[in-house]
Amino acid sequence: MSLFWKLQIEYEKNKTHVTEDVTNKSRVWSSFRGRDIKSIQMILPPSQLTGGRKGFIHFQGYELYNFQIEAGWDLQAGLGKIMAFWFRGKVPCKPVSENIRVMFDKNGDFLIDKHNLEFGKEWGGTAVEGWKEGVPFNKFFCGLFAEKGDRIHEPCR
Amino acid sequence: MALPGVAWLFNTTVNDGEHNLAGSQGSGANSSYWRIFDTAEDKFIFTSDEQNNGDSTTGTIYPVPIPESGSLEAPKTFVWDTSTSTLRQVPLAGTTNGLQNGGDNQYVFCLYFSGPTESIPYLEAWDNLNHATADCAFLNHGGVSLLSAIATTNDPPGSGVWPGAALRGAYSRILLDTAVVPGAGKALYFNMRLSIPSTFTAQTYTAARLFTRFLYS
Repeated sequence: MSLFWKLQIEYEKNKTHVTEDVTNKSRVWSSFRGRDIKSIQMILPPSQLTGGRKGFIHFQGYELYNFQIEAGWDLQAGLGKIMAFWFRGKVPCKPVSENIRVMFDKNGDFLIDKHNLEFGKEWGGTAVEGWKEGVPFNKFFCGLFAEKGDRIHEPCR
Repeated sequence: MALPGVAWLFNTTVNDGEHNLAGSQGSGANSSYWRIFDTAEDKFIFTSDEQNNGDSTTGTIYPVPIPESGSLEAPKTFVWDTSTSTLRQVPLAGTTNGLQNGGDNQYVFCLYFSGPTESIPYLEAWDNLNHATADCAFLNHGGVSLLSAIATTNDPPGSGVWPGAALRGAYSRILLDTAVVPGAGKALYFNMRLSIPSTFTAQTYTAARLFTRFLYS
């Protein structure tokens, strides 16, 4: 059973939930309790971005959290296709969200990009649904990290 | 929330009626106006005025002429129905600049979502299934796409000669509604047109692919 592509949600009082592999297109984020979240994290397979080591996306300390799967249907393909994963955190007390998008490339590797966006305008200037309440604190941060905890990308702020 | 199913439909009549969908096939009022696009085999095709509804796909296909000046909206729009080897006209497509029944129409093309989304779906156009480039002759004519669309989920365009927005990858695309798709699913509507400028070079075969992009969780 793969260790990768599972979303880990840590709640206050150190309770943790781990989802199934999110690439199987089933219910993920929407099936979890929507408050008291301390952090969200996902372990990613080894990639060029992480120097061939396992990596993980980590968000911690945000006022609100979100996780979404970007998908699409092609007129001439007939099947839905997962395009990317979005991890989102609303900065405490500011109308800003920090967003990391994990995209797949045609070689099976993945890429990430980061976006600081006006809160409530994350999708082409329109709102996205599915925010869940976190436990905000001053040292909020997010990024892609490699195994052993090395930060690969600077926090997106 | 699982990945919602998506069905592409098109109105084969001059009746500007909503598809009163009950499931993706639809069985309510007006459902006889609509046909499901066979995503494995069918394709949209833009032609000149000589083409007629029901023409065989193995017969003559009349291409859109390149105008001597200015630009020309494709006179007619069809779906290439592979299962019956016929061209099925979409008579309400386009604007009044075409030569069918285009104009201020609301219910022309439909994307039916069977379940909820967490974002408003986009309609996009790309070169191929990689959805990475939008540079074919129709999507990148000097940096401008010749394919335009307008969302009509909530209202008709408001004008018989609606401008719409060019479709070109993620650079230029349209949101199909003003809110996310609710839990019960929803039919989203749009209209589209192709305009050929005098500077266009004739193509032997070039295809663009329509695509809808959205979020779920």
